[in-house]
Amino acid sequence: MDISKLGIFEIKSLLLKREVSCTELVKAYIERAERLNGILNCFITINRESALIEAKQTDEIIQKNPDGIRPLDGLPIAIKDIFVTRNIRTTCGSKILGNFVPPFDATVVRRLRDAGAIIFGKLNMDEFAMGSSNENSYFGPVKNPFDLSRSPGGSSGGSAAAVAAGLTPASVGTDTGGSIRQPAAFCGIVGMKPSYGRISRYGMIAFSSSLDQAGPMCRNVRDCAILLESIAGNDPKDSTTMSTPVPHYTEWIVGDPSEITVGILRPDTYEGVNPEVLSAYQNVVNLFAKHNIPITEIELPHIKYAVAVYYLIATSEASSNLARYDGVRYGFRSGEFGNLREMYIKTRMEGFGDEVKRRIILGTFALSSGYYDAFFRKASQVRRLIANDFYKAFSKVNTIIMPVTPDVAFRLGEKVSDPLSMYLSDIFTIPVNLAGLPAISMPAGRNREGLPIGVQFIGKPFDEHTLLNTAAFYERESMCMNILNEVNL
Amino acid sequence: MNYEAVIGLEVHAQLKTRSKIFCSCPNEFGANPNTNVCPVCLGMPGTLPVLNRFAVELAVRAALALNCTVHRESRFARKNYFYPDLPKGYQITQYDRPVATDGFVEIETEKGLKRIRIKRIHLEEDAGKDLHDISPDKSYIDYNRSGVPLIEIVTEPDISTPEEASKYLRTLRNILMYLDVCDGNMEEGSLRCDANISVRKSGSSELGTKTEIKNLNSFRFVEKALACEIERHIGMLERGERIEQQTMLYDSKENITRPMRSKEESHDYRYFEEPDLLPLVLTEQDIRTYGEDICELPHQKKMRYTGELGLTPYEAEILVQDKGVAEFFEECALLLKEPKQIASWIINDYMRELNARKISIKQSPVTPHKLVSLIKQVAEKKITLNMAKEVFVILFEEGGDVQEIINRKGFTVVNDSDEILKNIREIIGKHPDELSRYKKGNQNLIGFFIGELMKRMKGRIDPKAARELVKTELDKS
Amino acid sequence: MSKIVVDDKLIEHLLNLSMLGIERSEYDRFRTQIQRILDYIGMLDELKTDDVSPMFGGIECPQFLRMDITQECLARTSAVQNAPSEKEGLFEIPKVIE
Repeated sequence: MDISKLGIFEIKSLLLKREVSCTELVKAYIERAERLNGILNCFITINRESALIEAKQTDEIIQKNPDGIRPLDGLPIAIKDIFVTRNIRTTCGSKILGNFVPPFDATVVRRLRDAGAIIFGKLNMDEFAMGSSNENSYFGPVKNPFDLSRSPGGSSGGSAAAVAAGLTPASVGTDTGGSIRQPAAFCGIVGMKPSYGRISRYGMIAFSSSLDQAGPMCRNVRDCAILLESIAGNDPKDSTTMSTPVPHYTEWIVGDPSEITVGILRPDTYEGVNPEVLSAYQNVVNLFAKHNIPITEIELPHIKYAVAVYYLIATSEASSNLARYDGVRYGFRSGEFGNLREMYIKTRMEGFGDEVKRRIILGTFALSSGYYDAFFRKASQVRRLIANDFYKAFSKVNTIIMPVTPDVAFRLGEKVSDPLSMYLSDIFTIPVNLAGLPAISMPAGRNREGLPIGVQFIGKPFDEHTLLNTAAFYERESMCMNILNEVNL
Repeated sequence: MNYEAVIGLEVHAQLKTRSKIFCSCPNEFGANPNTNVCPVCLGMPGTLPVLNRFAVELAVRAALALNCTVHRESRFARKNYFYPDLPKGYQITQYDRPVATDGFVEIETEKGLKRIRIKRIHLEEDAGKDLHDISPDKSYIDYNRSGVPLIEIVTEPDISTPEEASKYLRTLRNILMYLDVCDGNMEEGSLRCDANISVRKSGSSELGTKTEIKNLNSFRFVEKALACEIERHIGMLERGERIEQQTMLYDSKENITRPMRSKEESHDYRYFEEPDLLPLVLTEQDIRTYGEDICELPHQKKMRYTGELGLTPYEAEILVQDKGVAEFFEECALLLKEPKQIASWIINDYMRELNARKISIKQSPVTPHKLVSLIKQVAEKKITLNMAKEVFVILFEEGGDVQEIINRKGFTVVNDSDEILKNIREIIGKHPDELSRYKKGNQNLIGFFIGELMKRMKGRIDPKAARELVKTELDKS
Repeated sequence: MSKIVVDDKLIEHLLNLSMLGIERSEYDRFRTQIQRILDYIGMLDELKTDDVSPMFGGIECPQFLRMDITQECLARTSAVQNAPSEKEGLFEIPKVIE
């Protein structure tokens, strides 16, 4: 059986029709993952034994109870290695957690399991989700299935590549400054960053607590709705989740154009953007216009400051969030030290990669005595201005269309030595995180070299359902998901 | 040259909640190491804090009782530093927006009541515990205490002497115990104290350089450490030396203060708003509700005892030292309108028995009812005071019923004066020598006759009545 | 804010605060990269934000409060199972000097 083009919905149908057993599916995915991991390096951990045991149990449940099937019963899924999984090694792409086997499940993991999914693998990522190319993983870079010399993007690069290449039917990633949407764009899949507070962060290893948000990465909009519905909602273990009810997202993917009002930025906002990316974006806007969807020009005057704000807030929070990796309670401890202080320093020096160190140093600076006001606090004030820009725009429209990235997937190694230019490539994704908004990244065709280009739809807070309707409309009218037929591994 | 000390205290009080401040692990002392822990209080990756409602309630209760302004909105912040007992590498505390500010406590000094202003009260989490004594070259960590809820109560530098400092601490501890906010157990670390101190020339308005003394965990240490540190400061000032701003530890064996050996790199804690928690918002209604559980406080009780109930300040002071004792006293006083007598029994007999047994009044087998019925027996002259004291000890040792013990022991008082007089006359008749010596002026011999009477009547007579009757009879003879 | 000059002393200070180390040979690279990033961030100076209330979180509403009830803890073996060094249920570290 060819599983490489299956999404969640297809798998559910196959299981319901008893055309395949869960065990067969899990086996097939594990075998495929093991076979292709040498090429793509998507997986950090493949969880063969316990996944097969769970599959067998699920088969029995389905056998006994064919009607009472749970929403994701029997679905094999691999998720970003940022979610802690009970008794399955969880590394966060770092040497410092290289041997960490958590004694508990993240809420996202718990919900996936409760919905019947079987987690068979943990996917590669930039160390602590810090990066835009997946080159900052201790476990080596992931390759882009469209071009093996290219990056799949980051930090959820393993997830994006694995979904695109059919190594998993879907995945859950995290997005702090674009880490779902940018790799989704680079790999031609659908990636959604929900509103901040929509999905529990409990057990999701923190990079920047006020920005991090989990989200689905899928082969189509419907799968995205199914997965979001399963993992979203208030969690008593996460004070920053909202109690706003979770709509039945699967009922919102009708793609009704009359529900959509679009806002776009003035063309000069996009100076310096790759012309092929820009024309793909323009084509998307044109498609909406063709269907008589109202399009309004909006202004977001402060988003040009977003990268600067982000690299203060995210690094400050990270410098604190990563202080717990000290070699005392879990994870890596350096082998040589004379005293406690040396143990700390050597453990962290050997356990963290360069990008993580750079961000810890920067964040430590932004919070340190004498600089807090001018850096961390100032950034938090500009963050408010950026959020207010969006709220103002959303008084006129319900969807903002923007490119995801200024360019297509980087060549591996292209930006490694120039962190600032790597940071600047996140200029269109970061503002959304700062404002806590939901956004969905959709394929918008390919460039001359065949590399995917992405476009994002940004929505109002907790208005994911409208966004899914917009995405479903666009998906149907553009046939954009055909792009995945081009991946044949 | 005269100098004066300027002292401020920071007190950490563990809150009497069932669970920890940010997770559901039990808040209890003395469990096996690392058994009251979960991913949250071990600071495992991905874990998040969720604030305990009751911890907030207790903090507000304390703040109101300490005359503070409770803020409708406060915030949590992270205090960043590395220490092995701090599992996340930061402590969740409150920084620029504490839950309460601007209160005061009044303490009694030789010069009368003195007001010590409270600058702020904030909520925070406790750290784990380093164990240093297990091995010479290793330390060990137990995280049971990690995440235990604390309030930190910070005074203004209003304290001038070591005695005032310890008085403040006693007063504060007692209030917190009355409020059921903290169990006040300093040995177990439920209440801990740090002191900031500087010394200046008397009358000067300029503050000297201050030092901090950490971990002053008994009233005695507070007094002694502060006295040492004041002396050290004065010595340095006299010699014209510069006082260095540093953190000191008190060595009780040597009775000196010395700088902490571990050089804390710098005190740059990089405080910032805790992104995992939202602002703590309290409505007026919340604050009112949390304040409803505030009981009568020790100084208020003391005023009532000396006023309404006519006790001496000394008696009142002793009774209010322990909320349990004060409550016991009040229960007794409701049953029997003899507050003076009850106070005397509690202060002299009851507390002696409690101390001997090292138990609290709540653990005692002698209930207010029993004590009161015993006191009544004496008041109604059914038994003598000495009998009552004997019964009291039996009540403590064996328990049982007051009347039953009296019956068992055959305790009765002879109130028939004819019978007593008959006995006295017989005794006098048998001891003519003693009588004549008494007559010649040896008044002390009255004791001899009383003793003989007591012996003869097996103590079943009120000593006061006996004395009078003996005296009258001797003088008549 | 006047321009921040990132020198070895500042890097050293920040490394100390964050208990990090980098090789001596890496100082130049780190210093230059961080200088470039800070120079870029300097663009925030052109905005006047005195009257803007800072936005510290992704959502802004009151804190939810948990009921004071206890739940089961980790088994001690699970609590210490990931410890690099452990003895009889205690986490073991080099001697701490107070």
